[in-house]
Amino acid sequence: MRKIRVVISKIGLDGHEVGAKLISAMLKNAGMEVVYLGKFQTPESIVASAFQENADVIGLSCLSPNHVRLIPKMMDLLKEKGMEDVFVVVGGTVPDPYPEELRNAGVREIFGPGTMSDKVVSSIKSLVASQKTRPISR
Amino acid sequence: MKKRESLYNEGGEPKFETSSGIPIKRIYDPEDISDIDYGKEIADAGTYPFTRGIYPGMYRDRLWRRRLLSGFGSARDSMERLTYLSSIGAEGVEVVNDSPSQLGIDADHPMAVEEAGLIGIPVSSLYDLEKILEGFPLDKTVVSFESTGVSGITIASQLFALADKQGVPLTALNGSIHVNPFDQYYCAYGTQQPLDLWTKLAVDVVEFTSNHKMKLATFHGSARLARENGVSAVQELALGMSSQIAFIDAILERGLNFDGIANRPVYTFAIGSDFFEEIAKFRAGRKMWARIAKERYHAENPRALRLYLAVRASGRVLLAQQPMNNIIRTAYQILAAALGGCNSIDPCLMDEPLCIPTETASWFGMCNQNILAHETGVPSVVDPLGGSYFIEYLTAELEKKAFEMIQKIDDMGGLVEAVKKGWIGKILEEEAYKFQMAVERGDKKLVGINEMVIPPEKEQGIPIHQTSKASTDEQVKRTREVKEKRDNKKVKDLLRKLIDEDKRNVNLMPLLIEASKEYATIGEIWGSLREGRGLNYDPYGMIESPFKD
Repeated sequence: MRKIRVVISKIGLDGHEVGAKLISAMLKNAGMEVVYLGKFQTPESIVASAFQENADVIGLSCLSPNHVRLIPKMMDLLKEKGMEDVFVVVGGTVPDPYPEELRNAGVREIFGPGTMSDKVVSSIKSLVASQKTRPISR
Repeated sequence: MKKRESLYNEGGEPKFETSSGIPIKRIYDPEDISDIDYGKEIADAGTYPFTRGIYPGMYRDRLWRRRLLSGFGSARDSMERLTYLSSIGAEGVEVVNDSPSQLGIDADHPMAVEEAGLIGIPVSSLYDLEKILEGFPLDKTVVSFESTGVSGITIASQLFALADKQGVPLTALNGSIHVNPFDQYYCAYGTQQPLDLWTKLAVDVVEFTSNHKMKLATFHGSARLARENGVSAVQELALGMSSQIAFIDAILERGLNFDGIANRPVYTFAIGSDFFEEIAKFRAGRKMWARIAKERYHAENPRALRLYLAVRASGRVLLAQQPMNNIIRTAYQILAAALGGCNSIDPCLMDEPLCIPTETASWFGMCNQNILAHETGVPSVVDPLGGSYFIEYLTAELEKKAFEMIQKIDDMGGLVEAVKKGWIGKILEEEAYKFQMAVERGDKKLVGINEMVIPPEKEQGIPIHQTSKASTDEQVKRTREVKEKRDNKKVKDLLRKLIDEDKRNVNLMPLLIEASKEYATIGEIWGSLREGRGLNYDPYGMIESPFKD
């Protein structure tokens, strides 16, 4: 069975990187293939990388409220490129009322501060398992 | 002869340890500090090496500066909040910059249009700083620009330009502006601009303020950002002092005199949650600086030996779950800061893990400060824990370990080399990982995470701040407006002159002040200087100089 492929990224000008690096390490330890894109990525650059990496999941680490402004744009781009089968999950600081806005935009899971890594791992595994077919490549 | 207690269990792990991994005995006694010479290593407050405090009377003469951090939205939003904070007793103006300005780009940059004012004050030009400081007389306001990224440079030139416009002498300005690149460039927002240009401009600022005999402190060190990334107290001491050393060395390379530039050394620490370790850390920090100034740099100016500690409670140790508990956490943190003799204290607010502070959270932050100041009796004696066997042992131990790490960094060729080799990046990542694993295993107990957990639906909500899109849009509009309304020919000429002068390697501050007066923006100043040095105008490669012929 092929490994789950995850692209982890920061989005926009949010400079808090600790969580993104942590979760990248933890998902790798859990047997996933992880590419960490780094800081200051745009919706365009994230989607392009996810396409290139044939990602199953895009995980965004957000510690600034720019998420509700930028993630919907990214979701639109995924739709445009026929990549709606890529699961988008968000971790970080997402207090009410933002989770609802993000879910309406298509984000599948939101992991708030203090979420343990095993929960993130099992959620991602469930999401990917729920998909009947996965593209071998794009 | 007392039986020696083993600090380690059978597996070789310390039985008890500080958050930096220093093993802790069951109890400490005179034997543990018998080789510490009071006169040489501790001394009274106000006496070298200042372990007990930089002033003889400390809080008996003057309380610590009670600060509250702020900054969000449009320039007007920030000004209104600062006015509110001042009305409830916050001393001075302490702000953090938003991400575009920390990165050196304008609010109307394509990457910034959704981000202006989201996490701090938006300062694209003097037009914004003027608004933000409206109502705050420059000769009576103590300013603190600490989380600046690269914007410290333009904030300095804008502030001096503003003083000139208002007829306030530069010598009347008070507070501090953080321009030192060496504690920021390897983490957070510091990574986008070239270090050599940033260093050149930072030294220009320090030289300018020194030559003009200003009391505003620009010679500023810190490792608060690294601490917020997860490093330990020992590492924070070592990294911060090393960043100060790197900055001093750059300044001395220019032929400036240590005694002249280090006239008002300021250091920013985070306040962690390991209570006694933090107290010892502040004491060790003062002592380390005094020794570095005297032994490494042969300081003769007595003021250069006294390190002013401006500290900010760590947001990293606060939790999103049951956020009112954060008021309690911060109370312990600011207590540690006061017992550690810090000179300016800024408590994080209860909503730090969730949002920019609300007025409610700010109110309780100020209450926290005032309860400590007025109801506990803590300010009435200098360094009350001095002489405690544990505290004196821990102070000496932290100093020893931190100097060992500084030596390692020196052996690698200094901080910049240590960063290049990946040594520091590795430390940041490893410490964060270690802590997370300790929490996940349950070894590290955190109330709300793995102790006293309640389901989300039972959480007692607190008001959550949201910076409106309208505020960001207003800020973007302001930036576009000032670019239209100003004398663009003058700005173009000044920026051209700036590039020429940079090539002549002269101090650029007078020109930067002139350019700031004409409302040249942070993006234009950095972009022009970048182009002059053969780089892209825009670090993101999205826009070009508007002044291209």
